[in-house]
Amino acid sequence: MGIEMGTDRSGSARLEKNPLPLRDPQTVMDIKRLGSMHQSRLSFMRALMRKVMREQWSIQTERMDLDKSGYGSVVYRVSAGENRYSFVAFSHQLADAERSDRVIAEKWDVTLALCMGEVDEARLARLQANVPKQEAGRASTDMLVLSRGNKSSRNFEYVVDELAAGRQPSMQKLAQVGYLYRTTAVYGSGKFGLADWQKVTSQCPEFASPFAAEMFSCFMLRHFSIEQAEHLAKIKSPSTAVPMQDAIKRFIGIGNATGLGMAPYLIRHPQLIAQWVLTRERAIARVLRDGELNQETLAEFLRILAKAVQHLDETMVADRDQTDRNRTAQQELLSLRDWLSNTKTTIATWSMLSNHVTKVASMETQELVNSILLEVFPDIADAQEKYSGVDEGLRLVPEMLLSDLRRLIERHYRWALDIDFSQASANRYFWYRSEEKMEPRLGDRSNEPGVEKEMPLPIARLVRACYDRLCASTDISSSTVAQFVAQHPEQLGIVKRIQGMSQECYGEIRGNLADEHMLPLDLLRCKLSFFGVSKFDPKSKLWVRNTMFQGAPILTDIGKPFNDDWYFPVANPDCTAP
Amino acid sequence: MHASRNELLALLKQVYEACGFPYGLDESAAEMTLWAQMHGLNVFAGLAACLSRLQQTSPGDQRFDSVDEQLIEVDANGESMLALGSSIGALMLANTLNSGRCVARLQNCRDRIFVARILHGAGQRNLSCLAAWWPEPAPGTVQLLRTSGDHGLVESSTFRGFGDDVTPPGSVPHESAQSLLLVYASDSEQLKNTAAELSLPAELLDESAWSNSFERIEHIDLEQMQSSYAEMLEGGVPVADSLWEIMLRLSAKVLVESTEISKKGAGPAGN
Repeated sequence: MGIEMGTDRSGSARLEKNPLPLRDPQTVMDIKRLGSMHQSRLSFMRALMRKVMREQWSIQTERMDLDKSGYGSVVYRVSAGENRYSFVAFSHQLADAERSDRVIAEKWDVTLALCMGEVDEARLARLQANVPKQEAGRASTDMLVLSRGNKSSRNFEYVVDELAAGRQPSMQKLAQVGYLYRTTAVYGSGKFGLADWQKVTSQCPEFASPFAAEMFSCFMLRHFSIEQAEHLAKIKSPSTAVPMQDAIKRFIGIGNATGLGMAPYLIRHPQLIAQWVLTRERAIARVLRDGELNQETLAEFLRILAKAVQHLDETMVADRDQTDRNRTAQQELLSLRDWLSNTKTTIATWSMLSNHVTKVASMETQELVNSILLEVFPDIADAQEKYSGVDEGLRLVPEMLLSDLRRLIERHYRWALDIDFSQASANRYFWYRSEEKMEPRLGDRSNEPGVEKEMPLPIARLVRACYDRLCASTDISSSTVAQFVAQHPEQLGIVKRIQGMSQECYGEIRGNLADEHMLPLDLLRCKLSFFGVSKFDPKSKLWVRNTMFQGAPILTDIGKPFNDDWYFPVANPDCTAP
Repeated sequence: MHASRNELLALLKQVYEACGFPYGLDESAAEMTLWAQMHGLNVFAGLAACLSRLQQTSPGDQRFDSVDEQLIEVDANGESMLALGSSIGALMLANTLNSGRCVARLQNCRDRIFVARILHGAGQRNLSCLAAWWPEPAPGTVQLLRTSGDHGLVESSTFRGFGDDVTPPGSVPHESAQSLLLVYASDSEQLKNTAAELSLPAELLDESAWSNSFERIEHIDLEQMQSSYAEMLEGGVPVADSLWEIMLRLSAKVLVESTEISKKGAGPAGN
């Protein structure tokens, strides 16, 4: 624990009456810790599902026009509050050899759009002419999301065959790969002509929280994937086919493949990241400060801990490092359970437990425990759920004295100044955009072309350069930032960032993004944890597969009692057909 | 075609990066462009020519001949306001916050209309500001941008009535030098006083001083600016296909050729 609310300008944290002990940004924003984060009840898809269930959105199939191979179009009508939306899916034939998760792919099994309002024949024709082309087509400002997905080769045919034969798919098998489709890109917020975020927030209150429209599109793809499988099973064997049981439907999620494209986002939107992290940290701090430790809450903690252990046990990934981390976390959670049963009479507060975990457990386990604690105290956690709007502009403070700017760097960017950039290893990689769909890529500075087109993502190095330039300036105590950027316009971007981010608790990722030991995977996982995904399945240090909405309610659950307990999904053998 | 705000901002940033604008300056230029266009100043009409010129020069060649607390003189050496705006805006803002007012006289500065976003930024800091210049195609007229009202909004006016000769009124700089006058003040009264000291015609800032021989031939008020912005946010920003193509072509210069090795720089294709 390090800082208290009110010592820094940190968004709404400043409004706290009682200082709340937050974790030190040096701890929280460490790139390895960000790469150890897990979904929580504050994650975007969890918050979205609560909203859908609370407001009882109505989602109806408006048009189901799939042929005997499952190709064609489907339109779902969504009524949410006063607004109407349409989710449109175009299912295409795709050869196995053409199926790729990379952003540079040009064909997909399904292409998708979430639109404002109704979709009539004329609009459907316009969508059909553009949505299947994805980046190469044109979206319009009455569309919120453009997306696509590919079938899971392993699972889709299996599920269709089982249903066609009158059997339910095995939960054990689904536990290995818990989805029928994977999304490979989900675009929103003005990309390719889509509605701008400002329009979404003013006209679509249902989706006016971070990535809500994007998450909802993934949720709808999950529904489509099950409907399509049932449709194909019925065509394959009309006399024997059965619909999928609801419990199995709930256990089917939607897969996701995420690559480097997500990493630049985290660097370019530091104020947004600061708010996300602050919201989570504030909730954790409140739970530790205000959450009562009694028999009831301890029992709930242990119940969820056991579920997390089982979830980890069922998480099968090929990556050895991630497997080791999962196994370690399992063991550490079990040790924690034993420690609690041995010492529970001496543990008076959740802070004591948290301190113990921090001392003895891995980062992976520490962050898992934080997620579990948020589940134990849903009222405290959910009170933090509302992500207020962030004015993302980093504005120059030109009247600031250079001596004050230098102090800001020394205070808030010590972590960057401590990096030795004279070492070749600290400058090993450079980030660039490929001509192929502008895909962000990582190159080796020593032997790959394109260094002159490097993206300004290694913030630490830019801070260092700015600091050195500052220190070389004369009259640092009387000159202003305005004079500095007039003389050195190339410093404008980093000076604005330093000034702006010094007002935030969190936001700057503390790591050198050019370092040879840097793992882009850590950045991806950080963002994905805020989305709310589970079962991280790294395929290299550059991209990761994961599962979304596994265990979440299905459409027929809307309107029924909802406990919001679909975290750490586990296979339930009772649901498996004999 | 119509493009969204976010899409254009990202594209323009890349375009300016391709023109040699460094980190920070590229974003600033993109914001200046998009702000002006979405608020009805139709800068896209001349953007293709502007981009063509920007490719010939690299930013950073301006010369600050004189900088003191209340007067800045700059020979921009033909540089665009898109490249110069951030620096000049920062100096003006800092000086005004420190001493209550600041005047800048710029020579040889291109693309002056883009200064609108800079004025808006100063207006958001509660300063009163104006920019005046002598538009070349219309002798005897003065182009004026000034902050007005809340939130630092800017209104744009073009005035005629200073005779058909080529003499600009008061201290409004002459077009042949591609000049621009900027005045920042801590409040509107201070702005008026400073304008009077500079011998700017009273009509520019005071409607009650208008005479029969004086005419405001074009005006975009705050309401029009706001409705223009709202309209483009709702339906997208209209962009001529030819300009879109130019921007795409230019922005591609920041992209790196894709090779088999570079493809591995984002992981293998997966199924």
